[in-house]
Amino acid sequence: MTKTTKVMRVDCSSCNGCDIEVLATLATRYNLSHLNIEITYQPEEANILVVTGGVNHKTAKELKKIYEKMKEPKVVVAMGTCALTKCVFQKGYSMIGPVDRFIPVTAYVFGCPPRPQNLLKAIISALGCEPLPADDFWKIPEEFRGMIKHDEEKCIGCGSCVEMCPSFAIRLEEDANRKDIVFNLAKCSYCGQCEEVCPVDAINLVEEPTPIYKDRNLGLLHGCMAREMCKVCGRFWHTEAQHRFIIKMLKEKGLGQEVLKKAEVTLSTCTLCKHNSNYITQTKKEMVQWALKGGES
Amino acid sequence: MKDATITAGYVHRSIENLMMQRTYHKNVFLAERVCGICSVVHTSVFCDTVEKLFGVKLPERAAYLRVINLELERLHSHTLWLSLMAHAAGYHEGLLSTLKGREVVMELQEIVSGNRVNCATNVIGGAKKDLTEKKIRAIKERMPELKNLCEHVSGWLRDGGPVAPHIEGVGILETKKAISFGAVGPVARGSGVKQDVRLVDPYAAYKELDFQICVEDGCDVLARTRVRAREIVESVRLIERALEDLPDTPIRAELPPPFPGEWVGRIEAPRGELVYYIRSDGSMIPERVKIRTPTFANMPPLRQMLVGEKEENVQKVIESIDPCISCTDR
Repeated sequence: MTKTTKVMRVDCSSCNGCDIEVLATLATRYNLSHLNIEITYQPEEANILVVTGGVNHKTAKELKKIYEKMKEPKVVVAMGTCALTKCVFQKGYSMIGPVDRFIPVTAYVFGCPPRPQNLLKAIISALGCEPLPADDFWKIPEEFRGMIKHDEEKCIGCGSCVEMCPSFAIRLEEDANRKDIVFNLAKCSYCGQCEEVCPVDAINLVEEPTPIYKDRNLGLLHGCMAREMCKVCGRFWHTEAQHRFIIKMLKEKGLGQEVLKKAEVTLSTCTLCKHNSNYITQTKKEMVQWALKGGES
Repeated sequence: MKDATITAGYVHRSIENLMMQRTYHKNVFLAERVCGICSVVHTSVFCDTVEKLFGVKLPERAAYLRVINLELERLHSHTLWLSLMAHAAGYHEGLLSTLKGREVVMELQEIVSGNRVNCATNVIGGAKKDLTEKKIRAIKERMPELKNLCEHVSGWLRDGGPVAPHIEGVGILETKKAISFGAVGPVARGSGVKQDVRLVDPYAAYKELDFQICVEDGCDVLARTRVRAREIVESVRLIERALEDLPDTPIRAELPPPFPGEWVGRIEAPRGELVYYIRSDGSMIPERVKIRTPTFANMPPLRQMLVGEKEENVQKVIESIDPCISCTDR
């Protein structure tokens, strides 16, 4: 058989979550020993370095020192969202990471924290050999918060998930005639907040582990929605789906035809045109007339 | 051993500063990542403090769900620590077998919440997801395995077993000193101080559930280990009881708009009393958040234990307060 490969774990200001998962990977259930992998605390012996955490001022120096001491060939596995992009600690004054700013990284393990199975998969793929786990090894329970699945047909592009994401993983980009929504899995903390705030159930965290990537910029999910034209100036603004959704909500509230008609006008006019003086005077007149009539909707 | 001192800053992530820049709802997830081992505790105490600050009444079912999640976490935190203690005392088989037993708890956490470590079960004013019949059945099915785990731990902790002789009489902290240096959690209870926030200031549903506070008079590392070993038995019982009495109410309360005020909230974390201070200026973003973690409170007693100790015992003594550097540095 091949000789043993030694793994060293470095905690670069992580929350401990990833570290206890490394420890759990050690447990006999995950059978690290049959792959001839051993844990070591001496950087001189190690071939594989598992780095967790977003790296702050103090640990950055230590990380570089440890990497220099390692044995050739050097394999670095960045584990968890913090090591990839600093997760929820982005914009923190003490965090200067991520890991690949300081040392070259071979494999990125996505997850907050990743499952032990995923870490094992990353180590195995970095070593270039095939895994031999038992059948129920990869089993994932129901309602596990894994990969994000985004439904373009349902999404209305309202941006509430962008507002609520604690780790800035979702971006809404406005192109000429469409809105793009981009999920960055490398930043995702898998908290399920986007799933919860979505008014139309377009986002789901499904029972599927994220794949292992060689580059952290590969974990992007795109979705695009068509935008609607302003009836007055012809500029593109909100999406058609959002328009339909608002009208539907107003109908559900039981508002009368006249209000709906007004909402229709408001929704098909862009923000700039709404601020146009002509439009404001006209609306004011209409409102006065409406008030004189008794204001019934 | 003549003296001991602390060097901090290796795990500092500027969490308190970040909390003062984000809304309450986002801060729940930041609080969760203060510590990976006690993530549920941190979200619970954050939500609890915000709820009491704004006068939100926690629905009964949500309170019970919180108890179940908190006790599951105490279980996994204590078993992890017990396995490390076995390792520190030179009993390597104990480390592996206890870690293997701990996987049951981790799997239960994954089934209940959807993630093994960062559960994200709490939101301000209730719980995120309800406990379905299927999940309750899954927990009940694995109860015997949890009881086996407790028995296994008390098995290797017996008098004259593989661990007890190595840690008996090590790291003495007398009852008087424990009180005057402000020890909290299992460290205080291991020195004969009956101190537990669940008892003196009940939160969630602990008022309705009856449970024992485990106190040992040994004042040494063995006593602290036994306190934790007895606490996991108590946790299993609490989960069983909470599942039986689970009331059928909604799990979310309505939230009022924020107003100025301040509140200090506390909860019994696996390592001891955890305190959050939150001051609101009436906006959606807290004006000040201060966290005092149990490991920080246990640092002065640790120094008392270490002075005059033999070098070979230093690791065991430091291990015995269950230091969570990640909480303390934040």
